[in-house]
Amino acid sequence: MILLTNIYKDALIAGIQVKEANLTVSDAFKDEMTSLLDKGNKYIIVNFEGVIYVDSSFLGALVSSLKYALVNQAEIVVAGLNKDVAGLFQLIRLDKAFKIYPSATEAAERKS
Amino acid sequence: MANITTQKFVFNNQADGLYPLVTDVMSYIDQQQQTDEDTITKLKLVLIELLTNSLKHSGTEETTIEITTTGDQIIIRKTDRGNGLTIRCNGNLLEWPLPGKHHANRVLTVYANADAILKAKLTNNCSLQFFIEEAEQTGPLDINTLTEHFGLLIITRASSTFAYEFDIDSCTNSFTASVTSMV
Repeated sequence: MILLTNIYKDALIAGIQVKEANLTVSDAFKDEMTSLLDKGNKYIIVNFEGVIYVDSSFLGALVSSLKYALVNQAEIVVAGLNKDVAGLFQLIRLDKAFKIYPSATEAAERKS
Repeated sequence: MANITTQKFVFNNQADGLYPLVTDVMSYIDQQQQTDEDTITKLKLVLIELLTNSLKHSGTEETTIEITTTGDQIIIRKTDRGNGLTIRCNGNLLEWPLPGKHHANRVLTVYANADAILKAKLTNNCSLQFFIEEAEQTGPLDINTLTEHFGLLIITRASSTFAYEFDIDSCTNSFTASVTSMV
């Protein structure tokens, strides 16, 4: 399992349990996200706290999950990005596709 | 005159060796050259994606990373003797070296994102330079138009220049990215 999930208020927090979010775990991550969306979760916070880096394969899986969320009228937001990962989101403009929060609890509190 | 230094590192093309190598390379750069935080982030991103590209596509057991520091630039050169670059262009799979010799100045679209198009300008049948053409975006971002392929885009955005070359004599692929230090 790549994700450890827990419910907080109206949100599902999906915490990434690996330090290296790379091609070795991207398929499993995408499958787990698909499963969470299929179960009817409408607001998923992907928590990157503890992740030291994210590669392009993992980002591809995240974007693919976002597209699937849209089909399911669900929302995916991200939280807990370290400086390098936040820089990566900004560099390739994914900060326009995802709402980014400092922490998972803040993301849950600010759920619109 | 700036002191130019070069150091080679070897990557074993194993996923668990990727981040330790990035850490080693960054320590070396830190010893050679003063850099700002933004440049450090860009260098890490370039290294991670170059090594990930090797893991995914090279099909070989060893990749060499050569770091050259020039005072204002850090040049990262990745070489291997694995599979040549392939790009799917208009439904056709192009594989380097390209057949024929009449390719100079030809421009390929590698992939298009919602707000950017990654392109490559060919120098000849063995080499090319990646660049980004910003797409004009009006209205809200359409998530469905987002690409799910980011590797080359990340490197091109993080670098001042990013090029690929296939050396016919040695059958070697090389990707060269230069990052300009703001310090």
